Amino acid sequence: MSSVTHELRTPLTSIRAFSELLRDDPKMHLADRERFLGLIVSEAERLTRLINQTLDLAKIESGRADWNGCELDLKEVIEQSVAATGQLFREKGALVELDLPDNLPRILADRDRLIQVMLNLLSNAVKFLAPGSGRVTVMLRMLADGLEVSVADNGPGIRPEDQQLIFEKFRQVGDTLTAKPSGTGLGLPISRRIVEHFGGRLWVESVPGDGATFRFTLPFAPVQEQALAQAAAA
Amino acid sequence: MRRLQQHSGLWLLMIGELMSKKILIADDEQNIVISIEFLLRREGFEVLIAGDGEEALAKVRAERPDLVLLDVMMPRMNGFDVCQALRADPDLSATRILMLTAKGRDTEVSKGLGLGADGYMTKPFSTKELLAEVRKLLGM
Repeated sequence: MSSVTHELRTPLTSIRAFSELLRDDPKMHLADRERFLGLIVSEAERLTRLINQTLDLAKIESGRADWNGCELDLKEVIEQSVAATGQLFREKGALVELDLPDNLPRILADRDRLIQVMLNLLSNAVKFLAPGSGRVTVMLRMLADGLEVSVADNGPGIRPEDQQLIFEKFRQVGDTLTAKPSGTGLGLPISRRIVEHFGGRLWVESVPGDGATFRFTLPFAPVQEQALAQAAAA
Repeated sequence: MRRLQQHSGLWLLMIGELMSKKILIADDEQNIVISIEFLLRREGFEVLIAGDGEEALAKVRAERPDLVLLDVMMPRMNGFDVCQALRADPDLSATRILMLTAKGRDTEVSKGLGLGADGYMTKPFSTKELLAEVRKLLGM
């Protein structure tokens, strides 16, 4: 709980400080004034995301989240999510490649929550790409008992010591010499809990310097399982 | 001759007062650093910055600031450990330490003061209160 209050108080600190500086200094240069107002806005946005995600995670963990499970065509969910992140990719001049077979068996999950997971993985994939040369490949494939989605980027990769850390609440990693990461540190913990709720797993594979691949699995919808079992027996 | 010595002594005293006090801000949150730096520069202080605990320690030793604004939650060495290291060095006993924290209060405050911090402020802070505390610790 103390780390939650710490995280929420941090953007509020600069919002308050900049606001007071602007209020108390009518002779402040216009350039500084505009810069500080811009920072107030972006910190307010960051605080909003933090509050939303903190509440979301708390709901999930306490078992009070609403889950609307239904049979889904995962290919369609992925395509929707990729379309929704088009702007992020364009801003980075990055390519997205899709390898999504047709007619795969359906899985059982909450559609909105799955889109939330895909948006998280896709926005993470774009985040550290070098402008102009970035590439993200999304693959869907069939396993014996379910489907596996992989989101692979050609970014800087993730150090082995950070690969567990990134799934912890409020932890962010990245190049600390450049601007601090603007995320909340809650995207991956939430995504993992969503995937696990529906019986799957979410993990990362990465070699520093050689990009990162996030994979998650989801089991087939029960009816599919029976049909597949019958088909295998015949 | 004596009158000249008295006058030059007075001048040195005045110059000493006018020479700006040096303050180090140690915090890994870029935007918080920007706001405090602007505030302190506006008030005539000389400002140094450190983005993590190790850098803070190195800069205190190299630059000898009069006051350190020390965030608790920092990478590579947290504020408590920096405070402890500074207080363990008799050479740096004149350096005033004001700890800043966004975490909950009581246990943190007593820990910080117990380690030798001279003051404690919780975030979010009032810029007026921060300035008052800074001036108080610098004997201004």
